[in-house]
Amino acid sequence: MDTPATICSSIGPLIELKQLTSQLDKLLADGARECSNASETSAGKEMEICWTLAETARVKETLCEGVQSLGELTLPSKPSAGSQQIHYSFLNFPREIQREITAYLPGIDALRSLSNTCRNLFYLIRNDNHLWWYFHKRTGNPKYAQPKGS
Amino acid sequence: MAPMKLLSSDNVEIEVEKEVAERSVLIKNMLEDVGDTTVGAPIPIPNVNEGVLRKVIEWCEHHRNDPPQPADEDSDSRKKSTDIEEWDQKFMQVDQEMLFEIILAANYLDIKPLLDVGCKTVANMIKGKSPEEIRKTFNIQNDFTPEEEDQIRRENEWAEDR
Repeated sequence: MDTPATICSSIGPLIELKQLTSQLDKLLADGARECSNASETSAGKEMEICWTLAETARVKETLCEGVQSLGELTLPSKPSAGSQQIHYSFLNFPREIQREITAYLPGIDALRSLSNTCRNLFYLIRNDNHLWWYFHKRTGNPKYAQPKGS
Repeated sequence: MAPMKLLSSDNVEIEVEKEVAERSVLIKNMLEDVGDTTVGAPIPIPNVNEGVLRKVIEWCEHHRNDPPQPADEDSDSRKKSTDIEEWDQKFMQVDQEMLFEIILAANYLDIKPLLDVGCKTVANMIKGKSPEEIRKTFNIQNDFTPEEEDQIRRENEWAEDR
């Protein structure tokens, strides 16, 4: 998720890049004008102008790609509580909230049923020291008498 | 008590009494930090939209006179009880998405008693249900491999043999 800091840090470069592309547009226009007056310039000078124009166009293309990707960074579709774009579910809850909820489950059956719904919850409950402790403290499984890491 | 304004993520200003807003530890700390320098200016709540914020404020207004919860209350006594008082039960009778949004907002705004009510409500939705019923309730897809299904079956047999 883009933090305000990330967003703010990307706005500055975005503005700079936009200014640079404007300057490049102007340079390209100037270059084109010089090319049209090629009869007044030497062949070497004409080559130099053409090369500069090609190089400028290439740099502009790179900058435009940068502007586009920075624009996407700067204007993300920010998820928020209540957002219509994101449907939160039990599985999307942060770990500490999932832990809070399971702590309110009254017995082993409820916790086991929850852990047996899908792989995500199965491993979450088994790999979380706190939940694992709850799980086996309640079951009294001698194989797992001690919580992991305690 | 003087009113103040909160600004939701969708840029809606909501007027609320300071005492009510301060049920949120996040807002309380923010107000203490900034002092009176921002009088009149709405406090942005960038992670909560208008609908959810109004709902949270409704809860805070109802519970404005509740005694503060001890900061270190994490004992089993709190965990054991899934009882929810009647008003809170009715308050939580919302669609699942709103319920989850309230829980996330309570977590973000640091309103522990509201977070507890939300978590208890979800725990009560899980209680007494089979894995299949829980999947249906929370729209969870069964994605176990046959080996994992086998492990689950063995664990269940062990539990039943106790």
